[in-house]
Amino acid sequence: MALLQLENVHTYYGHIHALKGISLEVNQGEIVTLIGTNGAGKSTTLRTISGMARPRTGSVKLEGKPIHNLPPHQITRLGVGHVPEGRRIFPRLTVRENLEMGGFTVARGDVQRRIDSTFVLFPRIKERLEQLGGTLSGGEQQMLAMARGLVLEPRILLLDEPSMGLAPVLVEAIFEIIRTLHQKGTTILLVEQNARMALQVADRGYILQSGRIVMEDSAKALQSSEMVRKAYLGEE
Amino acid sequence: MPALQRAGNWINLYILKPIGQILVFVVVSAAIMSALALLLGAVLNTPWHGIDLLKTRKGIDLFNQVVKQLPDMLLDGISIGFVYAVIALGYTMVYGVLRFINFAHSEIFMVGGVIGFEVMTRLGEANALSTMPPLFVILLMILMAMAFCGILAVVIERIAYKPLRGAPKLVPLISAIGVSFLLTDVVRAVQALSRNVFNMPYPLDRVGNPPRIFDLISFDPITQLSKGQQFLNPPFLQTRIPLVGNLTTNMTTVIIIVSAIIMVVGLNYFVNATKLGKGIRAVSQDQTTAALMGINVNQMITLTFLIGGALGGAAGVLFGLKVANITPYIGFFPGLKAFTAAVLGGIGNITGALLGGILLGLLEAFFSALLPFFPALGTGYSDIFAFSVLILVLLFRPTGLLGKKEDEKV
Amino acid sequence: MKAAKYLALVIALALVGSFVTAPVASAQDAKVIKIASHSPLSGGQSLLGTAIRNGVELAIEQYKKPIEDMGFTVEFVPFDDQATPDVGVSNAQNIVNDPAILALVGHLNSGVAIPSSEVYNRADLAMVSPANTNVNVTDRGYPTVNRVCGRDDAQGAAGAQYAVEKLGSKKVYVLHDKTAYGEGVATFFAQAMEAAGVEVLGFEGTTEAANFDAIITPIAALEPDLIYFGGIYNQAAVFFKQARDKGIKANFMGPDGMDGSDLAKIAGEAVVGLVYTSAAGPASVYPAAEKFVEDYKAKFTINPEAYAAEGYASTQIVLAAIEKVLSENGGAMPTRADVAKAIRATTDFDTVIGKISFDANGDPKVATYYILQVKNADPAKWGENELVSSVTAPSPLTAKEMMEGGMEATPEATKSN
Ligand SMILES: Nc1ncnc2c1ncn2[C@@H]1O[C@H](COP(=O)(O)OP(=O)(O)O)[C@@H](O)[C@H]1O
Ligand SMILES: [Mg+2]
Repeated sequence: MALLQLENVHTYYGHIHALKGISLEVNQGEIVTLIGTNGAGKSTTLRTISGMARPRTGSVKLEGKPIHNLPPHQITRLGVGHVPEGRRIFPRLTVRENLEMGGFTVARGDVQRRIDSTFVLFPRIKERLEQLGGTLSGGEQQMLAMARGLVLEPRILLLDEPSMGLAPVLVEAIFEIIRTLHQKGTTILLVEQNARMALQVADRGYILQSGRIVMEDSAKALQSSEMVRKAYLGEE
Repeated sequence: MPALQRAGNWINLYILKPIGQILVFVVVSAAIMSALALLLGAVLNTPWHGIDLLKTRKGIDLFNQVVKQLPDMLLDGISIGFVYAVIALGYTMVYGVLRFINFAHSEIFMVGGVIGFEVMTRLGEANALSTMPPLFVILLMILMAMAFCGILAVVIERIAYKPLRGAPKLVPLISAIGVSFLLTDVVRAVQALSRNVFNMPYPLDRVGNPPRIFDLISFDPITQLSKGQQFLNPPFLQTRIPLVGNLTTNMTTVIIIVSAIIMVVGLNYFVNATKLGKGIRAVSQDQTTAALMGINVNQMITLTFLIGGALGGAAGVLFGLKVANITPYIGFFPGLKAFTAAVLGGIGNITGALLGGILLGLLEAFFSALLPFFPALGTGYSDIFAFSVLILVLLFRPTGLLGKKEDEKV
Repeated sequence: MKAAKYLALVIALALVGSFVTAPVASAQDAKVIKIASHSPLSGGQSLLGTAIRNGVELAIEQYKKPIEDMGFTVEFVPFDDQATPDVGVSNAQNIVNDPAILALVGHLNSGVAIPSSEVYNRADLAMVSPANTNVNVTDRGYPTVNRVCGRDDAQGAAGAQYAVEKLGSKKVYVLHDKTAYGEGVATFFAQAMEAAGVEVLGFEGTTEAANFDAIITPIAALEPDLIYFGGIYNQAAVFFKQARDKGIKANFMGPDGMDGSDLAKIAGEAVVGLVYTSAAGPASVYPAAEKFVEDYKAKFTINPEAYAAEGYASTQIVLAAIEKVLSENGGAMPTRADVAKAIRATTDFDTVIGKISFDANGDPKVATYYILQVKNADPAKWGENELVSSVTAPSPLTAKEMMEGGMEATPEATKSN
């Protein structure tokens, strides 16, 4: 059984029909990437999974159990970690407090150990623990946002455009971390506009266009697809 | 050893530091106000080219008068300032989390005063006031008011605000004003029907000292009371407490200041050091992301109202102890002033509420105690002056005194 | 969420419902004569306002028979002015719109009585005031406005005389509540004190109701030997209590607004020894009042507070006037103007508070001012306050007449202590 399964999900913002029947699956240990242009519905898909948006019809199942009627904080408790678009660091909490918020649902005794274990991947953060979140640079904020998501030790991590607005070196670093997480067995649903990088780290991918999945395949196959190369990889 | 060091750190961070901060606020504001008052007294005392500039009341040496009144003005200002600060915390916390001004907070404060009255009166009726330890009586009043008002605030949020959360900002505001009127009239009706009273005087004179240990042996409450000896010692709350020199203050003022400091320090600890407190701060900064962290946003909002209401209730009791009489309409002005204090300090900012409260209390005390010496003005103008200062501050710092600083915004 | 919404709706509906289902004015009956009382029945001054209301109700009950024998039913309609001018005026509009209301007894507060009586006067509706001592109540010369109590010019002077002669005051601080009544009587008091050579250290108005700290501080520094509060007990009591707690040793004094047992209830020991002037004597000074007090206690199970007897007396005058009009016009429904005329013509009429004659302005021709001292912190013993002095003085119009008639016009002082 797939770890995460969306079936024919329709999500609306008022009258705007953002998702028009999305079905997708993420299996244990996989990195799956969602690729699409701006406004295709990638973030909405993640938001629907984590409960920030409600599907009008269709279902979201975690290990076969429907979760689309649960409030967001309960979905998080079930192990769905969501690193939102634009990092969304709490600006007036310290870095340490931001990390503690990531472990809000974690038993008290475990939080510190888990925070410490994120320092292996994000050593820069350790130096900034007492600084306010709002004072970090963009790259550091992205690192903090991911570290904060990992404190939950999620069963599936939803990453929304982690490379957005970062210098190329930092983009490299972020993807390196994603690769490491993959090796450690973390399941990831990765939303990216940088399709090239995303398809390099992913096992499988879905192509989203105006709220519909127009293509799904292994990352390799997508990389070599004519359509994908033209529309998303900028090749002629 | 490290355990000891950690405890030391903890005391330093959550007790000494906030108390130090409060002390700095009090001392600095008091010093500035005193200096200004003395300066004004000196300047206006000397006629300028033979013209008595402000036509001070004849035969009064204004400078001397300021010197004479200074200790009282400071104590009055600080004690009412702390009450404003505790009320202001309720406004500021709710604003921080919901960006919503809970206009019913002034009436929750009033209900706190009523609960204090009920507890005290009932103890009095049971003849327990003069025999129970006074501090226990006051603690009981405060705790009961905190519990009742905390729950009241939560219930109000559930019924009158939560269903309107998606509505335009103005709608819950109107609802809050409605709740505020409703609470006033409910209290008025309940007290009229149950006790047939409108004024709710605190039986302060009847709070006695507990029997001292060596008295205890020979103390026989039945015979003592039947002899009509209600007070074993002089009324506790009127006990004079020596300060510096031959300056004294009464017990009530000390109780108000100490309880307010305990509450501020406690709130500071809760908000900065506990998981739930940090959760409230996270919700106040970014509700959606807080929900992604697994924080139950509604629970945090409930908790905010619970704490804000409890603080308001406690402030009501402190106010009742200070003024001796509570009515259903008592909430309006202190509420307005506390709201002003919250804005003055920077709404949404806990430290700001404290600073704003103390400053406003001092401004009010100084203006209304000194204006009588200017016959053209008089005490009645004190609010105009106090609010002019507020407007001036906001012209230069629209976010309030501490609003800009990246501080713990709840 | 939904449930909460519905709960709010239900509460709102219940509230609205309770107003809608409140008794609606019954259909007009030509044979009904209504007498209204108008005083604060809710709020901080309801103690005295209710006393007026009760006095009116009791008098109607006891004296309506002759009118009912002439084929009318007499109804009592109490109104609540909440001690607020706006409420008084808007009630007044409703009152004058009910043609069956032929006369009114009210108010407690001069600040409410003055604007409200403008409305009554336009509709020829007679008002007899049990308690309004402000000079402007009657000095406007309206044919409809009368009172059975004295005036603040004389009351202030009587208080000042006592303060100087008996309390030996040399330095006084005067506070008032910024109402027509409080500021008025405080002004007369301060003027009389200054005329007697007493130093008036301050004259301050305040609407503060709770925290008097900042007002007390300059008073404490000025060290007056007497503090006068021109206002009503509910505000004054809080001030007096806090002033004593802050160590002020001065004597306390006030006008008839102090006359409510809540003063002792709120201020306790602080007001023991306080001296207040009153245009209403304690029941003990009126020989006819004994039965009144008994009947009042029997009907309302509480002691009559100040102005209950005055409300009763005002109603006695109103009922007698209506009776007189009825007997003169052959039993037809009296007009308001006729009732007003008959009330103004009241001469040497025996009431529970003594014989009353109105002068051309509606003031009692002679009024007595009582000076009382609080003896006990127990509010239940308010009635035992000691009458320490009393002063009888003619109304200004009467004094003028007496001058013209070559008679002695100085107030005659009788001191019982
Ligand atoms: N809060 C919102 N309210 C209304 N429309 C929205 C909102 N968020 C997104 N949309 C719309 O939904 C569609 C999908 O948006 P989104 O999921 O953010 O796209 P992507 O993440 O792929 O760029 C877009 O048309 C966008 O305009
Ligand atoms: Mg997006």
